[in-house]
Amino acid sequence: MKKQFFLTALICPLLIYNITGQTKFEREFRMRTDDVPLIAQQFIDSAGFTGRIKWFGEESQTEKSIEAKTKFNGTRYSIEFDTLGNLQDVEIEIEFDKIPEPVRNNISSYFSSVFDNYKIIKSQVQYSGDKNIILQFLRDKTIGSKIVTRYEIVVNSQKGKARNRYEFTFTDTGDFKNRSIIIIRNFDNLEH
Amino acid sequence: MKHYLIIFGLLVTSFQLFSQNTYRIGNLPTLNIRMSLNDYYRINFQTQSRLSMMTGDFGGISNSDFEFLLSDYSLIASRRIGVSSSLAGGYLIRFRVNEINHRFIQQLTMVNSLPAFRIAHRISTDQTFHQTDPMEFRLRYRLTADIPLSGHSVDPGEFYLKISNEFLNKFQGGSYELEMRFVPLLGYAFTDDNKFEWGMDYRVNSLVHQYQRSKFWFAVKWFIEI
Repeated sequence: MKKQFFLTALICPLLIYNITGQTKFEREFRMRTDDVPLIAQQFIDSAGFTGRIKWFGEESQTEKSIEAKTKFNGTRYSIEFDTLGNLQDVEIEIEFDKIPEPVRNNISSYFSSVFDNYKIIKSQVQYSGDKNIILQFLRDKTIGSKIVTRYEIVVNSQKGKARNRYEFTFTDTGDFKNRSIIIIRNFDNLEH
Repeated sequence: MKHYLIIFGLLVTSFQLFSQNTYRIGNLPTLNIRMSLNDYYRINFQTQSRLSMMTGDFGGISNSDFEFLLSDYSLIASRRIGVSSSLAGGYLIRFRVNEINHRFIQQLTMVNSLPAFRIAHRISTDQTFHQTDPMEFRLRYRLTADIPLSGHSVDPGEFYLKISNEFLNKFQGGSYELEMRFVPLLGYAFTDDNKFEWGMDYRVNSLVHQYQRSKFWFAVKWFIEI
């Protein structure tokens, strides 16, 4: 019987070396403020956030970016920059029900037409444009005509037998723009 | 004076009760190998052993003893029933020193992804068949969180914390017992399909009875996909 125990204990370290080479490099990681380009830090400092700012780096096989995340008046903000610190967009998490009704109806109709069943997991409004205009928006929440507004919606969907999670982007009127599938992370270690 | 005598009496009694609560310390290595059959079905093979290093009671008596207790081998088939939920069933065979047990397992797992970590609910039942004792039925609920130590998700090359709390209701031949498990582990993700975890697996049973038996396992777990 002891042999069974030692077999279990010993084969673990041996097998690790055979498996670790199959890594796909795509990750999000915390960054120290000192490592963030000054131009991005200055933008955040000027935006008037009062909460703690957390910086993250995002790396995939195709691109890298930097994100500042914070909570302001109970709402989650995510401000994305390129690696040089140039603003890309601002994302603000909102409840789906708070999206203007005509836009919401367009989005719901779209989902009903492409899925048998769906559940909204997360909704965000995305603002992009000139950085000074975005900065002004963050300070006084006035959405000018030069700001490009998009809606990012994450849904769990069912179409026939297929069950997937997607991130959709819709225009400011609720028209479909694009979608990408979200790979669900392995949850074996939570299941067994 | 009367109050002091009562307090003294309670202290002596509680010490005697406490000293009859026993503990066991040992090792608990686990290896879990997953094989995906298609987008919906997968098979998990798991082996786990228990090796006792020390036993004793909380009154101070202890006994260092290197003792093999058991080895489990299980095969569980699971089907994805939602984007992040699954229904599973399988069979486990347990080798003890003088006995072999057979167990059938059914479980439902649901995982919620929150902004900074994941929470998993697992509800399971199992039926264990012993050679002499009556069949044991268990109803279990486990809540697990895996918390990345960098970023908002556990990415390859990163450490994470996995903390779980489970309650097990055991029914056997008309008797009932409640067990609680608390398992804080530190994990490292080599890849999304190759994770290594280690830490403490604390179990206390006989929660509804007078004397409790605590078990402190040094747990090492490895999850891989082939």
